[in-house]
Amino acid sequence: MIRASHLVIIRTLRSARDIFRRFVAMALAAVARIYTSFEYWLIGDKHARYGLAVARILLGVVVVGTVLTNLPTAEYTFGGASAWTGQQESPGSSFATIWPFSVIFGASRHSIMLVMVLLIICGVLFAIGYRTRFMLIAMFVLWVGFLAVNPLVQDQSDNLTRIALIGMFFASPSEVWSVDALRRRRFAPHPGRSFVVRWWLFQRVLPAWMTSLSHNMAVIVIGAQLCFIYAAGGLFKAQGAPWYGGYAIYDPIHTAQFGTWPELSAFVTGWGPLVALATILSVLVQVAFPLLLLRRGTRIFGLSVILAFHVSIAVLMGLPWFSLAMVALDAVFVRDATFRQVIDVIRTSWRSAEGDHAHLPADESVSGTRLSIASSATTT
Amino acid sequence: MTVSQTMPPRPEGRHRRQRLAIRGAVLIALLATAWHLFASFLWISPPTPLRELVPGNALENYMIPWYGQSWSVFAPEPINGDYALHVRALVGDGDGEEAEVTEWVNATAIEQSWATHNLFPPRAAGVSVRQASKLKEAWSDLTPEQQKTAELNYFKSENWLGRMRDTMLAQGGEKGAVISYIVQERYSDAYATQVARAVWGDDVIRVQYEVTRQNVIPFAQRNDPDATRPDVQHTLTGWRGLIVMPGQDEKAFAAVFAPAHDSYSEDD
Repeated sequence: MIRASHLVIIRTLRSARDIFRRFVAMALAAVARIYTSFEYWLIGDKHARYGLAVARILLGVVVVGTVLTNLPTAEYTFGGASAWTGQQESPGSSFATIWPFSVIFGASRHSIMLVMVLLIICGVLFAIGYRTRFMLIAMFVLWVGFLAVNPLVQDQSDNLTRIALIGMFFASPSEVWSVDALRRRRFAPHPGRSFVVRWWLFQRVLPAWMTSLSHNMAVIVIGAQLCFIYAAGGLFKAQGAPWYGGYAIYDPIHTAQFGTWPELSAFVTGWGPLVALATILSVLVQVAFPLLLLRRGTRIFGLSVILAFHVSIAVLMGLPWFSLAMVALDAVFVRDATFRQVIDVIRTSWRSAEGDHAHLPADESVSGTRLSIASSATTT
Repeated sequence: MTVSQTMPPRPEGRHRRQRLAIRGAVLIALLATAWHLFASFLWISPPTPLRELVPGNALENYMIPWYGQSWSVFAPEPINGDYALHVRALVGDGDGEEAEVTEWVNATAIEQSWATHNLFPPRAAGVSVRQASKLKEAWSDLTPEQQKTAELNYFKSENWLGRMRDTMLAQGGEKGAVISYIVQERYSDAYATQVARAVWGDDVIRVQYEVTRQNVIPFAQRNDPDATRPDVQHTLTGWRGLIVMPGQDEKAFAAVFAPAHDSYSEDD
């Protein structure tokens, strides 16, 4: 009897040890598999190529738009007329004393118009993706130096655009929808020999895994930055009485500073339940933003609500460029597959429109092209 | 979508060494990114004991100035009132015989007229409203006795600002608060001087400015046709001498401000 129970105990122990070993091996294999597939994600294809192209185009528009908006009052806000702010004497912004931004800061006093014209040129070339990385550096220096001139009129979107441009420096925002991409395709049949020639002709000088790694890391950093902004912004709001009282959006749009369309502000806040819905949604969607991104359905919902809010902020609060900067970066959360689908729809309808025109009298061919739109839309 | 479709081909590399180099580079990039994300998380979220994980000043040294940011915008409570900087002046007749005190001019409202009903407001519309709130903020940090001093007139001789500072410092309280207030008085005065000269010309002898704050109609009363905005709060400051900051382009200031003042007064 004693012997038999002994055997059972030994057998149980052995089996337990074996089970433990197997579980450890399974766990290690799973971790290794996850790590390798993550590594492939990082060094394989570049992700969010269209999203970053959209971000590039829209940030270029933000820079050009901001400059054009402020052009008539440039001297007043950023030029010699603003010396009363004391900024030239003791600058409030750290960038005012950091080279090369200090050069732009110093130039603002006498040559603010030159700074603004250069910003427009760089902004346009950056938006269309001409020599993108070079333009990014030039625009970054001008932009950050320009914004340092008068901290009285800075807002958080200036920090956002600066941080986003640093991120984009490590990415390839001109893979698609850019002059660079067109030129890369044009020069592809004539590979250059030397490093410099290849670089100038947009041909590969670094191994693909290296540029992909840098690009995909930048995508992660920009995406995380936005998640932090939204989640923290939502949590900061949640502690305020007007936010949990459900009327917070009423207050700022009735001030002169943030209510540039007083009649519209009064109109949209007249009905209490709508005010409450917008207030609650803006807190909840901001806090939940990172989680909403996880699934396609909730991602579409989250991004749509955020887009609607930025449109409202742009119009009601008179902050169009702030809003556009946020929207620009939200584009990195839209998958390349979705952008390609959109392109396909546009391309097909463009082609069929040509077909309609060519065979206008023949009803049959018109209905034929319509059919092809319908079928192509369902297959993509 | 299957895994094989999304997964790129294995990295090329005949040699084991190259594969190791790639793995090493990925690890380094991962570590650098992890640090950046952790630092950003700590910096953007409200301060917690989690920050103790980063030794010394490393977090601030990493984040400032490149990643400086603060996202408690319109939080915890969004702005619910208007700050404004008002200016009036004592203006001579040119011969130095007679002088007259002008009406108050709401410089902030004049600037804000560039933004109202404009889809693309210039940042110029927010210059003096920010200066007004800075002056008000600095004033709030003074002791009641020092605030009384701010109400007095200071304009005689060149060093009137220094005399005001010394009087306030002698009244106790925090030295830093006095210095901050004097700095904001200086900038506000330099702004008021520009406004006064743009509106009333070169014969301005001295200026007076005040910050007002008026809240919006409370949400609960928004649909009441008889509701009026709450009372205006005044931050009174006495008469002051003129200050022109070095490098001030007075013509450029007037060229932008004077036309706005004229069209704003016509609308009234």
